[in-house]
Amino acid sequence: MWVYQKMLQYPARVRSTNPRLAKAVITQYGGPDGELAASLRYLTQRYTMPIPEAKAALTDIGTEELAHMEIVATLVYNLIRDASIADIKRAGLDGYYADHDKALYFVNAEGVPWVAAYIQSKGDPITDIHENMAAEQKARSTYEYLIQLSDDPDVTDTLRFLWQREIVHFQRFGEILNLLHDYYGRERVFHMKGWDPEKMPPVDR
Amino acid sequence: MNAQQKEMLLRIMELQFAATELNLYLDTHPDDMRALQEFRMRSQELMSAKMEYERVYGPLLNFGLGMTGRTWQWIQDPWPWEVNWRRS
Amino acid sequence: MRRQLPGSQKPFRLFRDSERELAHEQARRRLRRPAQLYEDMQVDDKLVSSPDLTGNQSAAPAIDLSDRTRPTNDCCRVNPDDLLEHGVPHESYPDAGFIDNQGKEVSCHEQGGQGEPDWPFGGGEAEASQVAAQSTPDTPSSLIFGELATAYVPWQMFGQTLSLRDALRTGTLFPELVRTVPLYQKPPGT
Ligand SMILES: [Fe+2]
Repeated sequence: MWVYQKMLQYPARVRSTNPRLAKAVITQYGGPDGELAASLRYLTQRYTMPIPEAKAALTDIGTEELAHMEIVATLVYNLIRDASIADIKRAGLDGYYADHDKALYFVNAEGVPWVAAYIQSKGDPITDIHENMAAEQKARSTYEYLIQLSDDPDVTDTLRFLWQREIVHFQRFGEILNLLHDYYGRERVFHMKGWDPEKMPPVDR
Repeated sequence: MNAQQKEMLLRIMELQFAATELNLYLDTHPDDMRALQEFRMRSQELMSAKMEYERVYGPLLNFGLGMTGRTWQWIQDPWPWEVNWRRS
Repeated sequence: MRRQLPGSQKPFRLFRDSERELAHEQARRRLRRPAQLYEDMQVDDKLVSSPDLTGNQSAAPAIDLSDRTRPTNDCCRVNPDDLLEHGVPHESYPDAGFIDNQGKEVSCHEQGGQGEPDWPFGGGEAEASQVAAQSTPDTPSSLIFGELATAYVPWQMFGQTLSLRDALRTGTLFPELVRTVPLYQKPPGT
């Protein structure tokens, strides 16, 4: 089960009302490479993972992505909260407003609703982890484009935090991939897991 | 939310973040004793920081995992997306 | 190796020098094999035997890597260790065949019900799976870089960690994972 903590993972800040920026940032809420997709992808793949490290990493990273989803929602909510109808029209958010007012909904930057086809759960653990590594890279790219688009330094600061997390997650999935290769008996030359200088034969001089 | 409450909450966020990072690291390095030691230290600090905060400002966690006083403080505003973290 | 964290004057080390030295030494040791294994491989010696830390190349002790076992996930792949160990043909041995779900014994080549594939131009008698079973598991490339067509991310080793505040601000506890967002360059003509 899950529990909720009444706090954000990162102190997300917004400088001023900016529905135009909200329209772009919302893609990390309900877009193809957004946090909802990331979380659900990992949490649904974990059931068929063969090794304990993979089950744990998918559970924990999937849970962290839920916290990221809340951060993105906080940004979007605060960027449009005080927007006037004129602001919303000018930002091109009138279509969104017609369907959702200022409520949060899972759409990409163009208003296309989230679909499960964004994610894959293939059953082959090696394939699934490759999918996740690609997903982390796609999310990283999206954050870079959002940072380019952002004219709010406080929003940029939070986007940068989320961007950095994608790099850490990529590293973890890479290590899971190495462990899976070991599990399936593939020889690695620069294999470091359980590497213990004490147990190695002495170095000849 | 006043400055003092924010300061305490930020300290909890920092500890929570360090514990999260170490947790992910340990998922792929379960035999790393140095990381495990640091994780144990951070999670202990985190637990006591949370207890201290909850005693003053009400529960951070729901479903019986947080500390509950004589009144039902869980529903108290602000919720995380309503906190203004800007300094001014 | 020292790097500066952006916005901070504190230098940090990626990992201990002794750790890195030992890691490199381990990698070198794994590359050394008995010379005769290379006899028919046309290998550039310089490529596979790096000098050890003391520069003493002749005393390099050979670690016999020939006992490496290969995965037997292919029905046609023979693992010689299985034959040795059990003394009888292993299930994975192609001539042994297997029992299909109707209780009929079939050769593994007939799994798809297509029988022997009809290769149009002749000359390629061995099937891909047989080629895979016969080919040398270790090649100069695989010894140095690991198995081909396999993605591999370097293992992180536990080293220095950032202060709690720096960790939250940068988005990672580990200095070696800190990156800077690439600067946006406007496309020419805009
Ligand atoms: Fe991620």
